[in-house]
Amino acid sequence: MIGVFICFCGNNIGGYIDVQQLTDYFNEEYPADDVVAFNTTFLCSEIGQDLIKEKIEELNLDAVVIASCSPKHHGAIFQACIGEKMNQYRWEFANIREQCAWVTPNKKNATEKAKAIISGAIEKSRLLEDIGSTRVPVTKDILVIGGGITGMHAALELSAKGFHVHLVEKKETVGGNMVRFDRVFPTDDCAMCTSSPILAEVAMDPLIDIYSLSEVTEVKGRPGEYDVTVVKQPRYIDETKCTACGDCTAHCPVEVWSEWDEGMGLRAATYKPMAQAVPLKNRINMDSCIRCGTCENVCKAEAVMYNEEPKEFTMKVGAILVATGYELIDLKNTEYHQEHPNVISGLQLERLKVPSGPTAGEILRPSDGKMPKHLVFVQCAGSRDRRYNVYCSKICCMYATKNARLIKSENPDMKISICYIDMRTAGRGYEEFFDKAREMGINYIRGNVSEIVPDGEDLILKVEDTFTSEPLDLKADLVVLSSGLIPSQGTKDVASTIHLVSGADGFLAPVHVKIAPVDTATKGIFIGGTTEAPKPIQECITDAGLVASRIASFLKDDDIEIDLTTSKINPEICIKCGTCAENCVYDAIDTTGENYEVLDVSCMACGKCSVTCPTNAIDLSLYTEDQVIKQIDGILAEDPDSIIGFSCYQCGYNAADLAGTAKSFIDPKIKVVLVPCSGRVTMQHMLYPFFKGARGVFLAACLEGQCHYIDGNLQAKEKVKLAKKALDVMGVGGHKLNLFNMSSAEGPKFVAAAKRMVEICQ
Amino acid sequence: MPVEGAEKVQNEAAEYKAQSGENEMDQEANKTPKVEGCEFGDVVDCVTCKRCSLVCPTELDLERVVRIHRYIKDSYGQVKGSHRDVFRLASKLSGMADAQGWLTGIDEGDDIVFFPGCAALFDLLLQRDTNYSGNAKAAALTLNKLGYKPEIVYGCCGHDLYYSGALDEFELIKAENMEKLKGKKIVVSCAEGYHMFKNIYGLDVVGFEEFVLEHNPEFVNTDLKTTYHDPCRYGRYNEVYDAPREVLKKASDFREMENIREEAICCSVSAWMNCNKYSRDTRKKRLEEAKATGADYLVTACTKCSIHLDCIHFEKNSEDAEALEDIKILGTAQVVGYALGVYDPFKEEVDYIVPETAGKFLEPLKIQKNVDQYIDDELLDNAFLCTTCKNCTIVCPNHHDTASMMEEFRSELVKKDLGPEKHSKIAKAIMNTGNAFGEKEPMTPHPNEKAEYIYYPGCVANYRRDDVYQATKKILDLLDVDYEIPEGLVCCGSVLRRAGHEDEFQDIREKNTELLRGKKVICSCSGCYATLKKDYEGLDVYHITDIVKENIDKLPLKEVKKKVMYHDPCHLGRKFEYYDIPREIIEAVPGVELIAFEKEKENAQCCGAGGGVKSAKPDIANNLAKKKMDEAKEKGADMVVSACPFCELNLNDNCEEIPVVDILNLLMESLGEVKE
Repeated sequence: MIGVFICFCGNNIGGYIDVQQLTDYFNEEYPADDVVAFNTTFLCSEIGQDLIKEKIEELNLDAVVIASCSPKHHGAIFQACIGEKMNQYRWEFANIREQCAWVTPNKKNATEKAKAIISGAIEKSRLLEDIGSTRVPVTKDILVIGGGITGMHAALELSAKGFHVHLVEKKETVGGNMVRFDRVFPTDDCAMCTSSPILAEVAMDPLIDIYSLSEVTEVKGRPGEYDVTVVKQPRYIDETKCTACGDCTAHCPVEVWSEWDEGMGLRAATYKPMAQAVPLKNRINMDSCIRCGTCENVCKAEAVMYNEEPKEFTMKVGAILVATGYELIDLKNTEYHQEHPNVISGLQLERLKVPSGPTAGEILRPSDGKMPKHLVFVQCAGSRDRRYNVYCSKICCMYATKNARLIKSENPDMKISICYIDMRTAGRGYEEFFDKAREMGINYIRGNVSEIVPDGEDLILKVEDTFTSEPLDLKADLVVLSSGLIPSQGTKDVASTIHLVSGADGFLAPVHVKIAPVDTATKGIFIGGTTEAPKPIQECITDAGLVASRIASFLKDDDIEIDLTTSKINPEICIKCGTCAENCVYDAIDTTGENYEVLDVSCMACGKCSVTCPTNAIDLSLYTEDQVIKQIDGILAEDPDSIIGFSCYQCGYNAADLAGTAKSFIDPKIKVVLVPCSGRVTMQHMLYPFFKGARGVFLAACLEGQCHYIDGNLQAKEKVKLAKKALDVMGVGGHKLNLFNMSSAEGPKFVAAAKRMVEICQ
Repeated sequence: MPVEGAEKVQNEAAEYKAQSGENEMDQEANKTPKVEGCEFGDVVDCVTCKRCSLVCPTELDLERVVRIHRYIKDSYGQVKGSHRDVFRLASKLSGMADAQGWLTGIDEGDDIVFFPGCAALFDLLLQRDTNYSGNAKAAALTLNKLGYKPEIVYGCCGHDLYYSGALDEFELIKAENMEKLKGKKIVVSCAEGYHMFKNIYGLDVVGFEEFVLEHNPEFVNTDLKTTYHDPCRYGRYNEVYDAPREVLKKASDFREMENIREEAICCSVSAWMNCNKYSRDTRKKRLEEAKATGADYLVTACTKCSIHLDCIHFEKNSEDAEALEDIKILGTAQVVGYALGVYDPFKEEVDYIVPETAGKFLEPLKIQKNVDQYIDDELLDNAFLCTTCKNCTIVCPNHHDTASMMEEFRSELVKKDLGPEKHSKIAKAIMNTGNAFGEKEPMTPHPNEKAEYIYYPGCVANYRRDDVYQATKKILDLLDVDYEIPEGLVCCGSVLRRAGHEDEFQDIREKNTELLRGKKVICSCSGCYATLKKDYEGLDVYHITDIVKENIDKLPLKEVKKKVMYHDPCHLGRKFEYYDIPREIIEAVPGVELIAFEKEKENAQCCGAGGGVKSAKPDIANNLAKKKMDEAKEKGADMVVSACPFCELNLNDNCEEIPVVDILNLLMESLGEVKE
């Protein structure tokens, strides 16, 4: 007996779908008579859960179908509820909220579509099996990638909880961006004064090992036990000997633009970026070193090592925090003309303002070293702009205001203007901070700068004052771009090394933006700070505390439970041809023994192994070949001319959910079938729906290069190409099968894909 | 029956078994069958290669049984092809839509019809980097070279649907194809298409090789070193053996493999059904055989054979793939095309183009499975012809358990009440009285609860062969074996299971298991022995000869001066590879001269009685027994000895001159216990 539980979700489903009719249908008209249906206002509530548990017991149900919201929403709740009465995997969901009620304006159509979705879930649920679990040991060490304020703070929190932390930083010192600022809003505290105690604490903490000039090059293993490879670039100065006395810097004949100072000042080839560097050691930058040997001669500690090689080493960690942060968008050679010496970024301004910086805190314009008379801040440079980034970088209104205020108070005669679209000052004390700026005489012009035209050393800013509807040509002698924040190169690199999913904006995607903001889809791997999105420092600190707590919970025991939702091999029919092992990027198939075996702890359950198995010997639990086929059968039995959309768990499915959240329109013929990865979709899955009358088939997969399982979507792409040709040869028409790439955040792309499919398959 | 070659097949089987026997010498004797093979007995695992027809004593049409059986199982959704069934699916879709052209560069016209088949689809769906469709292209180009502008008809011949049980879908495809092909002369370059069009469609079809030979073109002999693999659909199905060889001889440096023509080993997959490790081993052996000829190319005339034989080459990190790397696979047309200068298999890329098709909306096929339409007298006749002797298993390329498959099929028929009346009567008798003969008396008990052993006499010894019953008891006493015969034992149910009365069998099994579990069970009947050991679960079962052999020294055997022949009971011999112990016991009797049947041990001919044939088709059982006894007469035997009272019954029924006795009777005679 299969129990179908249909949720009204208040009006969220009940307002769009005739839930009572749906319930009656499954009780009275559904072709199979082993189905009973129930409905309730809120299935996720205690009353709803009690109903499920009661019926499982009373009717001795073999499987449960939950027809409600997306499994990404309350899946865990239902799993736990059902797990109290039977194996926690003996249930299947039917997403009739995000993917039906909310995308189908016509109640009759929505009800019909819900029938098909539920029918698919019922038919799939017939093949569900008990899935067990196993406990695997965890390593208590933790890797933090990125030594910015988030990484440092989290490392300290974790160390305080007794964990050993490996802190890997790409630059020569930890500290990140914050230590390069002058002051921080809304308190105007000195950034260095606030962060140097943290730097010192990190440096001295016996439970924190710092790896500077280092990058993570490979991460293998499983949640609770990751094998991490780190490569440390040579410092060319022996860290054990260097006393950071500065003799080498003093004698170095080289002078080049300093990266630390964002090109606002000079540095030697051997240097330390700041006096508070951690580790407090000099380095030689071989990009600029001329190998004259001077430093070697003057170094009393004999620390110079010109021939140092990169070092590779490995570590075992139980969990990983990615805190690789942001960088500013580069607006050179655009209409912002950042290549002009007197057009500088906000961060460059910070370096000018820092008392220990190249100008000792004086605001001097780069072209001639003179104090500017009219300083103009250009807000939203590269943000909220479809040509660059559509998102708001969140911190620029405040950081521009902060700098304007500080400069104004030190230079009351200087004219300071801020051109903005609208001021976003949400935060405690922020609006007051902004009010004060206006009182101080800072000139806020509500208008987006459309172009900056160089005029010799000065600049003309074309802007329309939208209060007066007056086009202005503002003449400025120093322009500060409040450049938007983008994911740092390090963030992008780590995302591709560890295979984390990013959103359309390139920032790494949490498993749920609201309720799980620092968890990623991979258990044991977390994100925090500006790796996730642009945010101010206090939010980074909040993240760091949260993430430390999440990691500590994850690693609190000596072992963790892993559900065996893995692939299984039938040794009787396996011919040991090796294609599964070749497809497995996690080395989770042991081919050395007499029979092939899946290593349960290594298997990430993507199912790619099973798609090329010639003998059907390997299959993925929970999404078996036949379960997927049965689901399609169920859907098409109710609505034969549907369009089947296989959507990957990480991106496609999420995008479809988001389309629902946005109440977009999706043709009711579109029926989503959830798969863990687009790479799990077999040729049979692609062709079978046509045999049953489907109009079309599509795959909604992650963006290329962002497959959560590394290359599943690329494999799917190849397979779709072949299947399209095959459909042409058969005369079915290959154009009816398509693959769409989208990130988990791109609901509109799913809507567009669905629309396109409906057009194609008319 | 095409027995030519049967002998060779048997010898080879014997060799194979001898080898596998050696490998497992250390295994406890008679515990595990030594033939490594596909023991599933599932109908999808039969390769329908007809190799078994070389040895089947009752000459039954297995291929037909398999097809219908698959149809029945398909209606339960239990037929799944390899590669996730995608090829059968493709066949069905091809039938639903209008298949599109993919051959390029062919001079087309309407002289004849060329049917290129499914190779392009296979190329695409296999996801291998291969060009199996090149064979069809070479064939089409060859036709041009011979002066023909063929009309090219695309589509699927339906072979895989026909042989995988999708008979309704096949009929739809057939009807569509018939419209396009009827009345035309068709050339095909694939053995499967040839077989289908010729025998199943009844069309005017000619094989590519034959067509080429008819036109006798000028070949430039290539220096390719080739050998030829007979596809079952050409060879055993249609006796097309020579044409492919002749073209290869003209076109290349040709040499023969060891197993050819009738005895050819199958590529070991049929209709994309049964790929598993056993079929893979068969393919490996086939490639090794090809390599041993010194050929570089294993050429075949069937796209599917090419694909399956090539499979091993695509294994990853495989020693076998490496070892067999240099024996490549080609199609006959590719070699011919090469020799005629119209096609280069070494340069030709996969170059078919596919016109993007509009593709109308496909209505799902409306198919109502109707098993009854395919069940006719001929099928029923064949279904109950099998003596479950397992001789087929010996020659089957995958050593597939055909007997179990037959039992399952019979159970399907019995469910529909289509089994022979005789069988139903026996089943009823067993259910009513506990024995196959319908005797009212229960099996004679021998109470002895503390005993270590149980003697399970079975129906024949208990009711019809008291001599065997008494002899067993006597010998057990002589050997100091403490035994009991529990009260309430019933027939072992062998005949029920063999004849397909599965529900009744399950009942019987439950009853007996309760009484037999936990003790060592001795059987004097091979049928009972096989059933208790293999069809029951969790019993510790011995044949009486096991016990005798262990303690033969304890028996004061006296001289019996007789020429004796030993008949291997199928259910003891082939089923458990139990050949030597009975022979050793016979030879332990002083004065006995043991003469061998011409076919013995794994090749032994069945007495004809097994599998319910004695009751349902007595003529056939009698004829086989007569044949066997004629040989005994010819060889001047004084006595035929066996270890199965049921075989002995049937053999005795069919020979008056020579007595057929149980091995225990012989021992009794030797012990001086024979009552005249």
